[in-house]
Amino acid sequence: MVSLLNTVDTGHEDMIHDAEMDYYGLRLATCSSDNSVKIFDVKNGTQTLSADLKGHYGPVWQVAWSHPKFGNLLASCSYDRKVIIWKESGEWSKVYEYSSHDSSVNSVAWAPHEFGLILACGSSDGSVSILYNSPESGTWEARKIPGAHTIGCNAVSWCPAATPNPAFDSTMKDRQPLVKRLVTGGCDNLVKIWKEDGDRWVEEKKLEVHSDWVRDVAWAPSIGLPRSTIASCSQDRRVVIWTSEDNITWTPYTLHTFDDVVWNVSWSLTGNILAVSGGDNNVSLWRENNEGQWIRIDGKSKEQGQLTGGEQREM
Amino acid sequence: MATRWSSEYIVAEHRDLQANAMAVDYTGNYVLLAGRRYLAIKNLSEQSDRLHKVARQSKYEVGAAEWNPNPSHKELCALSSNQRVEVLCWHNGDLEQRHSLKSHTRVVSDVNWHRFDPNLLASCSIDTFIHVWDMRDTRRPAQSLSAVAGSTQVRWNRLSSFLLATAHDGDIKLWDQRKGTAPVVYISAHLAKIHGLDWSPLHEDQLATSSQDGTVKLFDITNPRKAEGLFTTTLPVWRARYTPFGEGLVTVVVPQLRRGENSLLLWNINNPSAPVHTFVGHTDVVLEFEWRRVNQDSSDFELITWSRDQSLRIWRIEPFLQKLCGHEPDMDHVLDSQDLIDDLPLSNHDASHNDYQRHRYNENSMAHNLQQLTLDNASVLSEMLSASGRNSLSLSLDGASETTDDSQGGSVLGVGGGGGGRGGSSSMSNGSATRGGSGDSGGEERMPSVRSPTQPKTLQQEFAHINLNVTNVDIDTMDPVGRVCTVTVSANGHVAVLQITFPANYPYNNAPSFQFIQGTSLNPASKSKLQKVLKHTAQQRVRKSRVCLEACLRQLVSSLQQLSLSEDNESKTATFLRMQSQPTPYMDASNMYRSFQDTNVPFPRTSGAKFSGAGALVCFGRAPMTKRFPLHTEMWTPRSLSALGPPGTPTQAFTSVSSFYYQERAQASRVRSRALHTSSRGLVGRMTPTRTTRAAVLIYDASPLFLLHRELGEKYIINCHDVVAMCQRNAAVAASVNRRDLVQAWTTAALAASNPEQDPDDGVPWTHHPFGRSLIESMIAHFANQSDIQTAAMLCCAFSPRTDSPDVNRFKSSLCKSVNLSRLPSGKWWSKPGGSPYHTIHPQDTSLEGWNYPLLKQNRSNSWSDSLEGLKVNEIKEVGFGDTLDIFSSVNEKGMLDEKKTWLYDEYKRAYADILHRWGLLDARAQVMKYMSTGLEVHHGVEFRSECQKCAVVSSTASCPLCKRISLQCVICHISVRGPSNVCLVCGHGGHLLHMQAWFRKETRCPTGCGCSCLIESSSIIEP
Repeated sequence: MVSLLNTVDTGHEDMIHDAEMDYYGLRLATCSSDNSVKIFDVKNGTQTLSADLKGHYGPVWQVAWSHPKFGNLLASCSYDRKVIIWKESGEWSKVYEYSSHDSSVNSVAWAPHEFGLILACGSSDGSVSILYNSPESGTWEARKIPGAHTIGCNAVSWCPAATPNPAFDSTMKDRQPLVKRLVTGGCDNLVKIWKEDGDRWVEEKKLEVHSDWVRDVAWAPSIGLPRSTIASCSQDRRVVIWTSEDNITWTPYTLHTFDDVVWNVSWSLTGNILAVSGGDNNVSLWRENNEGQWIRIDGKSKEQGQLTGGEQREM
Repeated sequence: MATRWSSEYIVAEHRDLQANAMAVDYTGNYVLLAGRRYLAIKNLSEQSDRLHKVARQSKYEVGAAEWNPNPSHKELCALSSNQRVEVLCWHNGDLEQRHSLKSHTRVVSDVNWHRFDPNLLASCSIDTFIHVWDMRDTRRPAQSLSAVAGSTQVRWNRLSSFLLATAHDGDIKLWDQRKGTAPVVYISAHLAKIHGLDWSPLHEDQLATSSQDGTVKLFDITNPRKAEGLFTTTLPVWRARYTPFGEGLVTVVVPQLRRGENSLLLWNINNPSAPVHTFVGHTDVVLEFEWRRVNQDSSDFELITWSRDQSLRIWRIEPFLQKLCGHEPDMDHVLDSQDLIDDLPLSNHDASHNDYQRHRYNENSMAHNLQQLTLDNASVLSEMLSASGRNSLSLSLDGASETTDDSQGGSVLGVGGGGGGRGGSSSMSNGSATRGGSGDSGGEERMPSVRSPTQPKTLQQEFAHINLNVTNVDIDTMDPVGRVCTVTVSANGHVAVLQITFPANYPYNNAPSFQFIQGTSLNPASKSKLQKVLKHTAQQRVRKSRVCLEACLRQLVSSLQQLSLSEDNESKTATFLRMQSQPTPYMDASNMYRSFQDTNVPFPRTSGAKFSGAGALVCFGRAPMTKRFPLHTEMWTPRSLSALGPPGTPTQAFTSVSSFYYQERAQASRVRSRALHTSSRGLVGRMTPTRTTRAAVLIYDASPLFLLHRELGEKYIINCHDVVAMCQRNAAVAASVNRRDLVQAWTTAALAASNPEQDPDDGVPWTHHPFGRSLIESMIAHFANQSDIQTAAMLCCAFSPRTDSPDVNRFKSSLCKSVNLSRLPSGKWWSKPGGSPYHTIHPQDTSLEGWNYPLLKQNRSNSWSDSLEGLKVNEIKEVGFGDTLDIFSSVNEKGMLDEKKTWLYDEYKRAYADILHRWGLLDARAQVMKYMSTGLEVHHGVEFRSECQKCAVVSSTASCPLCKRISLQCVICHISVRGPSNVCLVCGHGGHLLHMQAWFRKETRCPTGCGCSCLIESSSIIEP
């Protein structure tokens, strides 16, 4: 049921570490060990290279598109300890460079657009930075969570803004103001949830199940259901789905133990399908069935490379 | 990974040369590039790429090349070619052959000039002979050393003139020139072939070997059984050479391999875990590298490299790199690093001489001096070797000999302080005792380990980071919570059990406390002495808010060793303490990029899948032919970047991420792809397909996996006035895309919506009927749980009350009121502002008195919400509809959904609207957003106000509040504008849209003749 739309030859000279499409699915950004970020216009099975962004001096680990209401903004993070925010206004250019991390920056994520233009970055120096853009002056202000994860932070992900009112209580006089929350995963084998409290970020919850480095975390997008879901994956080859009704008590469910290290989890737009990939070069898709069990929906495992050439994957 | 970026600043390609040997002369100005067909001399002091080329008539490749390192014969250059050694002379811009040395019967594998005697040259061959040639008589070798095995490398010692090392497969033989019959030392160094040999420029008895087995070993020839240092890389090492500054080592991989690793690695000898820098740039393997000094004043060095890619690169060694190797150019006490240049090509002759003479010998007196000295050294050495049971002590180079009996352990103190020095932690006392100044620096730089550039922030982190490989130290307990750590240190028969307690605000100017606990075998005097030293060390570090545990432990070890020696010689302790008070320089380089941190950097993702856009799944990964690098035998992908080296040894740059997966074939393609950019090899056609599969990103359409349908989004309608028709229409739309489940849902919804009017007399309101509210609500919940947000949101829209935003309400009511007003006798209502019987709140704007009535009316009729400002919109709704439920429920299905869940349904609508937005269906999105219970965002933009031309009253509506005239008159037809209008933002003139369009089609200025360039001015306002 999944059909191949495009095969984009990125022309990167080294390994690709991340690829993401923008909000509308019209552009593709890729980043690689060759220190560059490339942007492609993708349309009807064709693609054109629209920009080759050079500014990092080390492998670029991750890219992230902002919500289009802020313009075409792309954030990238690299081994060179920098986070660069690129903007397209006619041409792509660097609008901001953040270099206050002491080690490789492994992950970047834009906050839900309701909060404004905010970027979270996780670094191997153990800290997490949250960069706030002020819309009036266009300046960036950074707040840091020092020592968020001992040894290093590997991934960050935002809680969707539309977190439902957990109390389900109409007697509440006002809707609770939106709370900014972040989930991070790190080398201390922990998944941590952070909450903005005034101008500080405080640790709200520490989720402990993984037995090795947590490689990626992803907070599922919300469609309004009164439930929060987080997926985390780890060096211990497991993917764990965490669910919570109130963001306080979280219940882990081990999705699967894979053959190799799992380093990437990604939720679909409606938050019901999870894409998992890892060191074995396979991608698998998972969905929760009505009994609350997670089942693999893409059938047999397939090597990535075999999917080239318009071949269709059977569901 | 070390830094990737390079500091190279000169690149010159010489493709035609096909050279495979390179040598830099004594002055550092001339570079010889030698190949089978040409010899070429390049003058580095000239900017041009010009080469002095000499054709060479030989069918043999050049094996090794070296310039004479002695200034008096610096024009001489030796080349090996097949069985001969050619000695060339670079004279007056011409290269001529001086001698041809023939004696070897097999290929000559290496040549090496004597470090001090300009006439001596050693050559070795696989014919098992090592010949020493004297340039004054080249007919036959002056001396021949016969080894049983063929030799691949020969190197004269850099400090002792009689010592010579040769490599034979995996073994090293050391020869004393005066005892030519047999090697004096035999070192079984590696299991695989040794490719490179190098003597330390600092320590007479230190030797580095690089081998096929991927390791570099440092040997102390006085104690050759065990390597002093071990550097592990993933690939066979071709050359490992000492740096002329600090204590560094540069390695390159074997040229025969094309694994894509073309970088030179710079290591700090004291930190074998990871290279401190990587020189990246060559696109093929490096064949040869040499050092030169930039100029006499500068402490900067340059690294000159020649690679198989036929490019010559010059890399500037910035001071920070030297610092990384423990070299402190600005500090006086590091005099001895100046020694290093003795065999280093110098750009300036005179300057070199100063340095040269200071520690070395001036070339005239050299022969004599050296002979004497090295005789001593050598005799000590041989004595040592012959009487292996007895440990003997060294003499210093200054001639001040000193012999102590080291009865404590097996450690042999080496010649010139080098032996002890290499022990890392144990170096200090020996070094300072025997070599004075040089020992100081050597010891001090070695003492602290080169560790974290980032300060560990918590104690737990510090504990996690600590290098447990400190010699003689065992860490017993580490308790980050209790902030206590216990260690056992043993040295020279002493055992110290130390408990370290960390205060709460450590390391911010708060030193930990040290206490010797049970098990310590020290007398009270020593204890207090050690405590003092530890306290001092800790204080120094925490004063700068730096952690001190590791530094203290290393200090303790060396102090303890010092202690045992100083027990008979108290005066040494004073020296020792003085040294400690010097600031430790190594942390100053902390902001440099280092490789060891890679242990914390996760292993890069090489494949992944991300949902993004509106239902696309973006996948990237390795090409199918990728396999794990065969060296990596672990079952799973490693967790950190450092795993790119052998376990626990973070190594080189990122190029190796791919080398982890790609075998030679893929590597070759990458090499070629690089070549493509330099457009040199014409392999475009061949390599393109490989590249495609490598760096491709696949975009899948994953939308069939979701219960969302773009076409449905496009075709669905929302019509709250006729819900039944809407549901039926939507059912038909669902049928058109073959979603029978949705057809059913919409049909049911239509039934639920249509029923009430048929049965108005039923006692139970339809909303409470089982097929009413509960049916619809459970349908919505069902679809939401299925993540079919599309259907859920559409049902919400259909059955939720169409809530106009307050603004719209106001507009509507005012509209209706103005209609009413027009029927009323004029002047009646607004003649007595505030006098209305309905007037319960104050007029908001007295200038708009005339509008009070409709505003009031609206407030009153539409509940008292406005007076309760604190209430949120959903509550207003609740109250409002609570009052009016009975009236409206039968009309508009307003009661079909539970108001308590309004916010939830709003979320569904919002989520669906977002998806429509992603699909680019903006109209459909706007339709859905209209049904949000909360109003849309209040408009904060520009508002237009009109001023009545007669009454000069400003109004926000189109007509004057006083005279009721329509404010805007068309400047062209002079008729009031009731339809679409257009006004210049600057001069304020305007009129009917069509008239204005027609005017400005030809004109640019205002039709009134006010002189305003309306088009330009307006556009400049809109687009600043």
